[in-house]
Amino acid sequence: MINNRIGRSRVSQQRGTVYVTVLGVAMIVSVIGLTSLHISRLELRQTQTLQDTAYARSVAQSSVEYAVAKIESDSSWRSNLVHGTEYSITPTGFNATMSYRLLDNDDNNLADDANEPVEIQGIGRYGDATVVYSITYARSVTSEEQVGPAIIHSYGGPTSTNENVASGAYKGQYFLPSFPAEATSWSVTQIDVYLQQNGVATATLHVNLYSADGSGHPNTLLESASYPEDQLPAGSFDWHQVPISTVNGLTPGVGLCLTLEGSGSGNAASAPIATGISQTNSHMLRGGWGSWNDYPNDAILYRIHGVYTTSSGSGEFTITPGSWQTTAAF
Amino acid sequence: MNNLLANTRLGLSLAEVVVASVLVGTVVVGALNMLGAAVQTKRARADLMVGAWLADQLLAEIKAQEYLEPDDPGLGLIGRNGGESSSDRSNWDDVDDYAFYNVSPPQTKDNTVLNEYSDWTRIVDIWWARRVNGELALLDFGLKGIRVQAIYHEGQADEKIVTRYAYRSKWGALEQAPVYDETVVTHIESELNLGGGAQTSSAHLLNHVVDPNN
Repeated sequence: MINNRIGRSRVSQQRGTVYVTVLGVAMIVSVIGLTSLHISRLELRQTQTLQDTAYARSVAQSSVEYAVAKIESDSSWRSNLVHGTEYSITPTGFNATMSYRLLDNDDNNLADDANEPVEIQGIGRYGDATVVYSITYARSVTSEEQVGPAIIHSYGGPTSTNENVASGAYKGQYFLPSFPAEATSWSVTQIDVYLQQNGVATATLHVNLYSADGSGHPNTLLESASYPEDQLPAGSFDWHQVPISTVNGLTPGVGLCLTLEGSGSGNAASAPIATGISQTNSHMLRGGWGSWNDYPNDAILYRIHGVYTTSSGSGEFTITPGSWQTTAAF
Repeated sequence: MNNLLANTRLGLSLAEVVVASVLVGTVVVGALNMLGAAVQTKRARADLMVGAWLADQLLAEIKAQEYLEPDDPGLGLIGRNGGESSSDRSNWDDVDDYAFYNVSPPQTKDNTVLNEYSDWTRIVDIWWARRVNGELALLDFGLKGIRVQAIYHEGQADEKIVTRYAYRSKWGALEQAPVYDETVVTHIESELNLGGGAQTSSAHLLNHVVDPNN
């Protein structure tokens, strides 16, 4: 009798185990299935967002193009349009919203001065994405008002040693070009640095241009160019040219920092260094990972090409070259 | 006593098998439904990517062109000029050269056929636009409208269309002559080869980026 009870109990335990196993497997399969479904839906949504943003960017650019064409057709645009007001159009078939607004960043008043530059913001909205492009619309600088491009600051040698540029072993140069008193602004158009590959060409050289802080150390990154080491001069030192396109409208009397930074394994470059020299308005930088030291009597070999203007511009109103940039959506 | 012990080693009952089969069947049906939905989502994602990419790629290329024909800016008509072949896109150099463009399979700027997208057609419309509201104009007021369509299985029951619009102005991006002579890059096209497939992409540069090779 006792054995019979034990036997029945074991049987019912075994029967329960079957259901638990089946339900457990069902739950695992369900979780896996639901997760994969959820992931694929997230990927679809991510793709949709990326596509929306890409098109919104294109629409924002179109908004700027439209705004410029519109104000070119209206000689009274300064009085007909209001600072900061957003104007929208949605042409037939255009499945996105184009808007633009004009900003007078000097005094918030478009109408008070026909010579003041204007910021034009083109806004593109598509789906859930909003992108804003900004340009400067100002009187152009004529060829008579611009000098250059020419070498505006440099050090060409002699040198006494070579130093490596590597990850965490950066080199650089602070420089402050001198301009005539009538110069009102200046731009950098190209940088040349004298260097060569070093060892196995596996690293990457970053040539960066920063604004300078009060100590002549790098502050805000203005433009950057990266070169795999195998694109640098090989076998012997030579000038490596770096075009610069967006470092414009600089104030005379304010210097910049050129840095050579390495990433990846090994040395990114080798650069000749001058030591014990006398130089004005410049000093060499050594450092890495955001920490810099200056060396007034040392220098890398470099040439800064640029232009300077002697007037804020007296030509026609145009989009200032180099002024296209994305800005925060609102 | 032996009978009792034997009973405890019996297999599954018919009822257990039936219930377990129903549970397993329900789970399998549910899993297959989820699989189908996941596959459909993946396919929708692929279609979404390809159509938008094909349209965006061509739109970027068109926007990088000059507003007027560089060799003969005075003519100012919509369409290609003498010497510009309708079958050779490589020498098209202004926005309205792309008017009435209708090609399948899609091609790159250098006329390389993208055979992997043979189900797709790309169509371009260019028109003069009014500066008041962006609508169609009969004359050139310095603004051109651009419409690019990427069409999957054109004219068939499962046709899908991705449409992109843009405007290009006579006073817009890159229309400003630089004060000093320089060669600038306006358009970058890249190709990614991965796992036997190739994908090209392009970007329109708005600022004067000095050509490093010139």
